[in-house]
Amino acid sequence: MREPRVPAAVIVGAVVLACGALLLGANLWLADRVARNVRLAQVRLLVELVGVTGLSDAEMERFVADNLREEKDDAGRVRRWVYLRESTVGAVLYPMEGRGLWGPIHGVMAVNPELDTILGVRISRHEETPGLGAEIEAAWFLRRFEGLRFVSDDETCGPLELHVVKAGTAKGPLEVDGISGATETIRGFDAMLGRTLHEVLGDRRAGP
Amino acid sequence: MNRHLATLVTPIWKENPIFFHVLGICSALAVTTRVSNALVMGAAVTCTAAATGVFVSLLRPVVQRSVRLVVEMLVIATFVILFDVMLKAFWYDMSRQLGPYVGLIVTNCILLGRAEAFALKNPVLPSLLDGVGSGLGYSWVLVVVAIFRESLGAGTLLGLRVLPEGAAPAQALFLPPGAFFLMGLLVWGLHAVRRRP
Amino acid sequence: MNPGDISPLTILIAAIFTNNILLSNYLGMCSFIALSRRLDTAVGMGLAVTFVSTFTTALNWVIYHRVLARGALSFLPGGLGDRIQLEIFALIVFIAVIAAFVQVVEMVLERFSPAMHQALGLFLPLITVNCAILGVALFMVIRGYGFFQAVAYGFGSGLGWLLAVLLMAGLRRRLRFSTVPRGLEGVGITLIVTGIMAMAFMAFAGMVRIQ
Repeated sequence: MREPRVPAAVIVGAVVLACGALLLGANLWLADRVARNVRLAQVRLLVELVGVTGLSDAEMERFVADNLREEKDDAGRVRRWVYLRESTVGAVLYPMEGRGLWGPIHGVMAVNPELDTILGVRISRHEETPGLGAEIEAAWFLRRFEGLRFVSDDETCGPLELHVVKAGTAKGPLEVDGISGATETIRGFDAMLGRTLHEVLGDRRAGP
Repeated sequence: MNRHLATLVTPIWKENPIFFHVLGICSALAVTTRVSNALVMGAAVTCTAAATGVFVSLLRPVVQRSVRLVVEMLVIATFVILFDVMLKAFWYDMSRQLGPYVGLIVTNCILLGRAEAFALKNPVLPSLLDGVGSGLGYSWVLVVVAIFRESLGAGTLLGLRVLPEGAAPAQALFLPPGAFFLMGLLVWGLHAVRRRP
Repeated sequence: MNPGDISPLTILIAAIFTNNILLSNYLGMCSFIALSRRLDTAVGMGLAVTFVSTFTTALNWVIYHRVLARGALSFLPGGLGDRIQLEIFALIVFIAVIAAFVQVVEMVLERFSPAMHQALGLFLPLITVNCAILGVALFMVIRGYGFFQAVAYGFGSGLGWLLAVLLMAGLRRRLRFSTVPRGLEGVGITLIVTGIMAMAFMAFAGMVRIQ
């Protein structure tokens, strides 16, 4: 191969500039779309949890902006969302954060206005093993938490005993069957659930 | 024309990058738990390999040997990022399932290997065909592995049920050991088929 | 609980045993198969990977969080920093940092320690395309690690890769004297043995609790 005459630095510089320009262009064109996708993933979860269906993406965004009141903690992170249905509280949604076998798990839990029963749980992000740990985001598993009352009848704020246990060994109303073959993931899921419920009970003690 | 056809077909079977050169085996194991993931990953590698082939071949007359690696890496990384951003913008769910493995195409030896071994020495059209061929050779292996893993491991194919509802799926195929075993057996099978005259 | 609460030591142990980058994320397979043929090349490459992965992860962390990440440049006057979006370049920068670091190390070694250069020189250029190192940088961003966590993760992943490639080189030395079906020789049997190794490593799963 013959050696070209153009200095190497000029060529590399030109290629760097061309690549940079191409990527900046792509970013300008697509950045808003990407940001919207990230936002929509969260919005979809919240809308699903308060039981509203059949909305388009844009309608969902408007619905969340109009009906869900965000409450932040001192560090500026979202602590919970309060769902207002015709000016009364319809549900309270708590973000969940935990760790699974391979990486972080994120999700949202919806609780009734009296803060004593789980309305629903959704998982937004995880890195668990497909087919095993990843089933924590599946409907058949999450359905087990719907309508679970985590405060006992005689005590207003009873001891917290809701636990996810080994698949097939759940006893009593406060134990939920886990997923077979996903022990570590379920352990993380259980800890995450416990922390979130702890926060819910704290709010319950603090009163409305 | 026949020569061009040969350029396209050789890397698909006779010199398959995964089996013949043992290149790009990481993602062949990581993204093959679902056929849909394997298809998208295959498309990503095919597109970036074709684009890289074309551009490296175009730059061939002006790039000096001393800086060719830098230029090749720049071109590869640019196209991989482009594909990644498009996926994030137009198919967000898929992008989240593939996670970092789209970005890791940059280090997929198929791209750099083909750029070095082929595009640097050949005109644009053959380089394009070689890129597409290598990409397709990589893709079909991915899809075959994914068909085994999804159908036997989850009982579905592209999300549709193929095993009867009661059948217990072999979930071990989803775990890393299962992936390594399956890949080893496939290599065995392919060698056996190829050795036959 | 946010990821900032996990101690770097936990991440280090997890990266070596329970979440081994090769055996659970399948990264670094190409050089793993090629270089586990001999024990001395396995050791050389393993050490080189550990060294490069530790230092490039630290460098990449600083560059990503001080320059590239959203809002990292917000100290610039006139809201300029919020308008510049450099996140899209992360991948290019990571690979460039890795390539440049490898180049510098090679030059330094050649100048000051010819013996080391003799031992590692052959492997250093190969590292640029070892996906384990780029993988560590990408996972560090996705999981939101802090600086010390990232360094621990980079170091641990390198050690984990070293451990896996060492074990495999030892096993393959024995394999040379056993009868293997013809089609399985080389790559095939290596993959199957890797599977058995991955299975053995899964037994470590209970060792670290990352809760």
